[in-house]
Amino acid sequence: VTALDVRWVSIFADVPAAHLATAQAFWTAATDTSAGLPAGDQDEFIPLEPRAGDRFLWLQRVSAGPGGWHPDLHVPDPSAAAAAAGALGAEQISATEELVVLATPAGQAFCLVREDGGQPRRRPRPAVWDGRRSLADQLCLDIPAATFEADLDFWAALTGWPQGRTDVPEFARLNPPGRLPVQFLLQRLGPDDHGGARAHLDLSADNRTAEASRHEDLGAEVLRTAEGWTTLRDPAGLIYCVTARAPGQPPR
Amino acid sequence: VPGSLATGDYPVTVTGYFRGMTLNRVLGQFASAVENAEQLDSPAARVQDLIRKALPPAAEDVLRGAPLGHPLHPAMVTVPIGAWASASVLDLLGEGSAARKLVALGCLTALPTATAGAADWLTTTGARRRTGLVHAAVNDAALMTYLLSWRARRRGNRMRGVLLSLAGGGLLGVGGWLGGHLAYSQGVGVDTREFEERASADAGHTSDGMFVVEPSEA
Repeated sequence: VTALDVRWVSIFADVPAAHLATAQAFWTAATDTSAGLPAGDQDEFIPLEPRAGDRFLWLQRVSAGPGGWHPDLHVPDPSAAAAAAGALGAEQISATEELVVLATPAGQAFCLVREDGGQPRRRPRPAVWDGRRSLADQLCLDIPAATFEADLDFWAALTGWPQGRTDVPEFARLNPPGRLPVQFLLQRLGPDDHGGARAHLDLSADNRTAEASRHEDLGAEVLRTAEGWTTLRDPAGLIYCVTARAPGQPPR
Repeated sequence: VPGSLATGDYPVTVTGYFRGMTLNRVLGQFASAVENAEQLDSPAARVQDLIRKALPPAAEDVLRGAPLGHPLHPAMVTVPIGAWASASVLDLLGEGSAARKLVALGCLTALPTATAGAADWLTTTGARRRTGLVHAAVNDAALMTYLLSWRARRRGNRMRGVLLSLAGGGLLGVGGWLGGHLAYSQGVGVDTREFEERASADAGHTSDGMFVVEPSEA
């Protein structure tokens, strides 16, 4: 199986319909973006438009479940890409010419979406708050311990992205080409975690404490403060983190 | 000549102990030894914790250069380095009293410079944090050496003061090289997204890959 030609990555926050307005108000303020025109058959996709660079962050209205996060990989040929993903152990959930929905071996949902040629997109730039910068720039895939290696191998083979270095063995990192707006972090969940495979968005911030307080002022709740990151819950119930990484710093 | 161009590496050679090794390779090995020194992780975490407790968030932002939009530390280092380098020039010229004052100036300005560097260091983890810790430790050793130099000069032991300054300068070179490694090789303080094109001339993409042409102003 040859690795995919991933040309862009979008991140979707799957938000229960009842909380969509709350999520939109929060995430536009938190990421210094504006809500674009809704897309999709039922206007279920709302793009968050950055001030500079191209959009990659979306809100998706979902009718059931508590919501969560998932990535879309933009590829020239979604059907061929889905076949490659299937050969690596992914399960296909639904498919059209333009979009294939799949689940990884561990059960994380993701999509393959058509991206034709043309000019390359530009990554959004960090938002600046009183000179402090923050940037949504990482998707953390939270994977149950039993299926962690399977999903790490799956993502590495599917994307062909090299593995980067991490400080602790609970984490692995895949470094996408520099033109993509997010990097992938994979977290091995603890043995007591029975929540299943899921994902969450990470923001980088010069000043993690100040950034987390700013999010609290916008209505988020701090759940946990760890050495390198702060875990929060947005007013719509989605979990995400603010991490102590300098925005735009090269990955390692 | 062993280790010269014939190795196909770099044309700079160091003789003596490093015969056959290029200077570049010696420095590369030094850098990777520092980057991989995992035993530094736990002291580094403790020091970061202490700094976070000591620095109010607002001060942290200023020290990091938030109002300027660029890191402050690399600009501030010019003051102590310039003062100490000039002191050695004045030593050569026999201006001992002026040299002593510049040694003192270097020591005084090294403190806020180091504090600004500490604020930058708080955003680092892993290999960058290890390199930053060694960079700080070597430069702190340089500062101590210059303080001893100042004390020797103050007590009238001029030759001892001159030699201690030269030793401090050597340490500063090592510490400074690690600082260069942090910025130019490890990218601390670099925002790669600054290199994104500001705007494509008049065209862009929609999220679903459609190519759109925006109306031009003309």
